[in-house]
Amino acid sequence: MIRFQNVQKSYHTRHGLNHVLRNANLTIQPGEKVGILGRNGAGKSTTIRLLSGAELPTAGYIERNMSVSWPLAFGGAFQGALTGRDNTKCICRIYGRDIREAIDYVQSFSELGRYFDEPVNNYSSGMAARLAFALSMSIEFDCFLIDEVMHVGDQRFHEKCQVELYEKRADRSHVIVSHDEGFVREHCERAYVLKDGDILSFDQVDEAINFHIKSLHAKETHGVGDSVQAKPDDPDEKYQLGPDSHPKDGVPRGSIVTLEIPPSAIFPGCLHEAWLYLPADYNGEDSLPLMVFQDGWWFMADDGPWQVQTVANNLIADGSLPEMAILFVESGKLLSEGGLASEQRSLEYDSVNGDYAEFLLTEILPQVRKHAVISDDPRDRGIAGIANGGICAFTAAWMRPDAFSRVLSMCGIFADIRGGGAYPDLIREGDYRPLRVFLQEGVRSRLGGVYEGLDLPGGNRAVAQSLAVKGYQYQFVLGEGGHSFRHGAMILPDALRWLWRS
Amino acid sequence: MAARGSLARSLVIQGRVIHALFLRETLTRYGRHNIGVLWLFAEPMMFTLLILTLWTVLKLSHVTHVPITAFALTGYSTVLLWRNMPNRLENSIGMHLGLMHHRNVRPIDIYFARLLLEIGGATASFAFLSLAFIGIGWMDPPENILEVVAGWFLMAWFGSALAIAVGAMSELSEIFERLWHPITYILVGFSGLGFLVDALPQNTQHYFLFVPMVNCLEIIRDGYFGSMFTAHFSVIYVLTCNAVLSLLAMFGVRVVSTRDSLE
Repeated sequence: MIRFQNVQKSYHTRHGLNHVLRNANLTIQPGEKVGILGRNGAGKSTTIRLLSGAELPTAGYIERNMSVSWPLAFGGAFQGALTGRDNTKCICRIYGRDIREAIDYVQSFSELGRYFDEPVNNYSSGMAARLAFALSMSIEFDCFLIDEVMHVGDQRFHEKCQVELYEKRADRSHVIVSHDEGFVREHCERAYVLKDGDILSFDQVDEAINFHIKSLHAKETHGVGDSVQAKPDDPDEKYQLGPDSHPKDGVPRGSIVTLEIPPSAIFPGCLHEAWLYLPADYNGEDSLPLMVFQDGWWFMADDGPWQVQTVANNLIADGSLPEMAILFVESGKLLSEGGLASEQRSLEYDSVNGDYAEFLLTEILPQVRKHAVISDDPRDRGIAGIANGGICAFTAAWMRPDAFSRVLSMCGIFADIRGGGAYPDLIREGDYRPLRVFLQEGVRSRLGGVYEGLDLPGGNRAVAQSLAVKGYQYQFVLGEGGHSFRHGAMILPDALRWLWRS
Repeated sequence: MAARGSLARSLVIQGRVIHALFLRETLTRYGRHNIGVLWLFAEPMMFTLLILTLWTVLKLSHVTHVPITAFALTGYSTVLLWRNMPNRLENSIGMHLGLMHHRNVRPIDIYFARLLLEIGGATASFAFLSLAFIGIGWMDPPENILEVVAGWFLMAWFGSALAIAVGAMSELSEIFERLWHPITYILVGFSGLGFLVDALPQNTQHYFLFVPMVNCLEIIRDGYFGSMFTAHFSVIYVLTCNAVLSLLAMFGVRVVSTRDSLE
């Protein structure tokens, strides 16, 4: 068993003490398969090092009476100048393992051939990974730390590893620490989620994954009034929520209804979540305008950065917005094993077609109508989102101007992820639609990873230009920040005022 | 009983780990195919030869009775001992962080493995060169070999404790790491490499004997050619220094082991 009892871990940084774990408790029983999820920086690698014993806690107690492997993907600290054989010997000596036996096993399992007697520095990364995996299988541990989806070698070798770890060593404990929810879902019985220095325990892996995904959406969020962690030179730092985004005394508050969304036929294999804001004292009979927010949980959350509920309460009270319903929709969470939530979100939001609008109108709206009467007039319909959700909002209205006329796009990704880069041309060449469009973008906005290099501000400018050429009612607000919610969240009340003025 | 069993078990594990790391270090440093090990001998040998040459050219052998080969060899070999060990331990934990994922590997094991290798190398070099110089007749055999061994042991102990303290400090403070090298150069000057305490002005001898290395070196030289000069040293002082420094070193290791930033 491994048990963390009130474990604290903090590091000294230039900006003072960084508390990675504040008061963490967890238990790994022999033979258990446990997942640990957390976004980057949540303390996954710290937790691994505490589990493996590479680091000691700042405070609290770790009880460990199982032998624990080193993190498998990590490899076991090879000395690059030494051969695979010498490295194997060293690890065997450290663990008191019979050297000859282990060498036979590692040599045949790793399939390194003559390279086994070459310095590890000469290995390809695949060869090093094969040696590392074989080594970790040659020492018998009670508990294996699996810190990444293992992509070792080719498909056949990968399968060999799977058999070795998940079948032959199925009786051992496995701790899978990953940000890949599919991998955790596939292999774990229960899971922990690292969040804000806590380790939250979930008996069901799916619950943990849902929670994890929600905190991913909230990844840059800070509650209202929280101190902001942005760097001092971050241009977004200056954008702070204004009075309309804070609760005001005497303003009646609307309510939230959680909607039951049946399995979608348009986006099958997913779980969709949605919530409905109804204005204070709604009588259930009046026909209400409707505004839809994609990535809805983030916009709705009480401790989220957008405070849409509060903004709506305030603006409805002062007459800037009509009494209206607001629909918050999450993109689909895949129910299948190994699927990526981010891929599903991109499919729903980035695709330049009418599927998403169709999904909203035929699969979500009927659920909304169980709780409120919703106007059919497109002038009573708005749609909003940020980033992929921003282009999604535009696409829905572009494809179905009969259903939506007011578009709010924050940091919209009008770029070629799934063809969205064509909008400037589509708008110029297509028929005029009776839309009112508010575009917000940060001049430093850019994406990382595979989308690095996409010109996001340029995309928004080009869309704005085409809207101007065709005589659309539009606003284009370019902030000084990056691909962030902060500027958009600050101007949200004014954007909504403009969007909904008569 | 259980406690004793677990202590014994811990010692077995620690021995195993240090053995593994020692072999790993040896192979890495001297390799199966390179001649790195020769440097261990070349460096003090070159220094000794250089001093001998100077001595001969300047005809200083007429001025003093000190056997210059033994003087130079003991001087440089001991500098190797206490100077190289801290250098080898500096930042060694940072470089071996990965190894800490093997739970039984702790910073102290890395320190011990490296120290063993360093002491082994310096001792081998000292012994080999002594034998060589004695063999070709440039040097007489030590007068009291046990005293040489004792002095060497005290020096190695001092060097080890110093090395661990310096190693631990270097993990904690970058500034210290930068300062240490100039300090080393100054210390070399005060280490007895180039002087016998007896040859110093009488009123300054007292101050030089505050340097533990000077005491150790005097012991070693006393063992080698004690009949040729009057050695000045205090074994109690060296033992006290070593004990205090060892305590500091152990404290440093403890701080490094539980330190809050291994990243």
